[in-house]
Amino acid sequence: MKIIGKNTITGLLGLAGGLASWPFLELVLWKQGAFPSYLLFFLTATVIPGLFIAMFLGASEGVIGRNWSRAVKGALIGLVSGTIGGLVGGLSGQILLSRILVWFPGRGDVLETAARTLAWALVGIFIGLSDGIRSVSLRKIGVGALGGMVGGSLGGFLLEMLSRSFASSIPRLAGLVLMGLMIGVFYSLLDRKYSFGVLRVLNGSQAGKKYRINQKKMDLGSGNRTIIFNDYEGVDDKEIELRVDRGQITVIDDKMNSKLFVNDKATIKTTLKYGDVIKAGTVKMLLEAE
Amino acid sequence: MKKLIFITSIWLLSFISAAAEQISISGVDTSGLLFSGTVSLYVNITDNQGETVTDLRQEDLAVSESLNGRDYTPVEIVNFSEEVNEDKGISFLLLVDNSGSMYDRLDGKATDKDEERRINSAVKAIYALIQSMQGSEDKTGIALFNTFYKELAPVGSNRNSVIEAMQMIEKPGKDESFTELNAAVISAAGKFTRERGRKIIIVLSDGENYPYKPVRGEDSPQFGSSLYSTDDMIRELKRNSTTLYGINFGTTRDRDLEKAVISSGGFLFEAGTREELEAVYKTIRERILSEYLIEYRSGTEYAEQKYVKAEIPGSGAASGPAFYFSGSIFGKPSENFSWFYFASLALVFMVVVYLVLKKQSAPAEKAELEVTDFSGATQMFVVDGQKTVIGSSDSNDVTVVNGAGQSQSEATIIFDEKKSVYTVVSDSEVMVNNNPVKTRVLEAGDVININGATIIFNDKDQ
Repeated sequence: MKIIGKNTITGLLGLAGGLASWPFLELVLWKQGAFPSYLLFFLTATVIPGLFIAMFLGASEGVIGRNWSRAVKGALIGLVSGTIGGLVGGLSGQILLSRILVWFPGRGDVLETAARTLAWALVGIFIGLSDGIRSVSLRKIGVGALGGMVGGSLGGFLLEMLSRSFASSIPRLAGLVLMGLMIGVFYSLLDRKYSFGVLRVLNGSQAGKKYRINQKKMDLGSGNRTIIFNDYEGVDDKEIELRVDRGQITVIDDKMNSKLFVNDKATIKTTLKYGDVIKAGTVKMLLEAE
Repeated sequence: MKKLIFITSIWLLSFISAAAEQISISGVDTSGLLFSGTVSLYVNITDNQGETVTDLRQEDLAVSESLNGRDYTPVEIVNFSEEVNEDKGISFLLLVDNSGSMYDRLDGKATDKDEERRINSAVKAIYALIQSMQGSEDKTGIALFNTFYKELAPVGSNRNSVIEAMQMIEKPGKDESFTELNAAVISAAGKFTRERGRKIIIVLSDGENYPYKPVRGEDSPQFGSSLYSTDDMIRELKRNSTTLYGINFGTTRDRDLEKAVISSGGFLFEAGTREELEAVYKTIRERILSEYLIEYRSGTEYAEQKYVKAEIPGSGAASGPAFYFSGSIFGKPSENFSWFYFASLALVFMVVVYLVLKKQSAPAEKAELEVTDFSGATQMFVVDGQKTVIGSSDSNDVTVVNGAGQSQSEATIIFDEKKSVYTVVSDSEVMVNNNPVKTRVLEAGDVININGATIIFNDKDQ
């Protein structure tokens, strides 16, 4: 059976976020006159795409790892950071727009498009932060912010172009879906680019599955806070730990219960190289470069 | 004749005021729209003598807004100030025609005497205007136009600098004989984006828009292929909340200039002599100084542009409509919003279900080998015989070939049915889990390296 990759999952979740935001945004635009102030309308309209896309992307690590409590937690953090992103991005974009017009006086259309693209880039940054916040990883926060910024600016530019060119709901739908997709794809691509390596599962029910080493400390085990191997025998709650220091990946037997093997040799702590075979309990993994 | 036209234009301005109390919106400032939801109107109110009406109170005025220019709804006035421009000052950009005809006499005949030239009268009238600003908060800038738009002194310059800049005005050369009136107004309005408060462009011209490109059949050296219409002018003036006043100072009139002037809240004057020109500049400034500022809370309904009117209830005095742009970054809302839009969430649900159910891993259903050669190509082989030979020959079950010049190894995977185990056997050493072996019982997940290929052994039973 053909298996689905991480980039595809993240891209599809971003796309789903953009798609989910569309009817709510249309409702807000339709009810614009019912808002008590223009500012409240503007902020609500700006928050909606950020909120939904961040919520769906926040769940991506949990969906990829089949860890549903992690998916829910990520989605909730995404919801909060996406809301903040919408508020900060929307307001910053508007302020930026007025500043750009002052700094570079002249024709407005191009500059307005540039300012709004930057506003969506800011929203994208906050969308990309959620997974790093959930996993308390500065590296993931940085990579997420960069991926969100690139995807947000590209997707936001397309949304802006489509909204300008075709004043109706369907192009806006296309714009939102593209923005979600872009943020998801770029977040995932940059996450891949800046990862230290991949752990490929070699046996059992997760055979073929790949886990990116994208933070400086990762736990593997059968517990919820780890990369989960609860469908393998002999894997404790927190079985082993991976640490990355100056590009060197070290595997550590946290329990010191002699269940960790590297290249068939029992170990408590070993610095790994690409091609090493790690066995923890009954799960076997191969360390590969991306 | 020119005298008559001048008197007519001043009289017309008075006539607007003469019927009764008259009210006109001369400027719309939307800078507070996003954060406070308010729009500011600069309003002129005159009595039946054409004199400015003072001492009006907020309760004496009413403002209404429309999404379509027909149906108006009253809005709440939140702030009201009288002669607000006196305190805050006015930003003037004086835009002066510097085409060849401005070096003719006032009656249109050629002359070599500087003092007889139109440009000379214009400079002296502007000098008088600047002198009249002494002690005020007003800011001034000056720009010229012909084939080119040239800023001599930006708005906010020291007044002496503006006066000195006027000394730099030179007769245009042969290639500068065009009158890019529309492009110049648009360029000038763009310069106002950095200014706040009351922003005025006074354009003085003795001709009509006469752009370079259509005549020469090639791009303008400054404005390229762009040809600007009156609507472009109006749009740029609105975008920058700028009012355009026009002065015809010659025998030819630009028919479209009046439309731009009126749309922006300004007025078009005629002048035939230096004295008349000075009077016009003075009238424009006084008219703006006496404006009221009405700040009102705008409705939040969507419209690309909204229309606004001010009136004095009970007097029958109402302004003509002014408008401003109010579109959002999301564009026009759907006219026929349908709750069926939410059906798209079903598609979202399907995507989520697909991602939840779709396999990200492929557990082995039988014993198999996943072979990745040195080029990165991967192939799957089922291990279903008693013996599975891995080697460099095409006759082997699994063919993996080392690079040219390197030794080729061969290994066999033997299945023991009784013990249900697979064993790898080789004459020469092969690597299993990075350890050299000649024979070894395989477990699911073992990694064999042979002839530069990485082979992962997997088995359902294990």
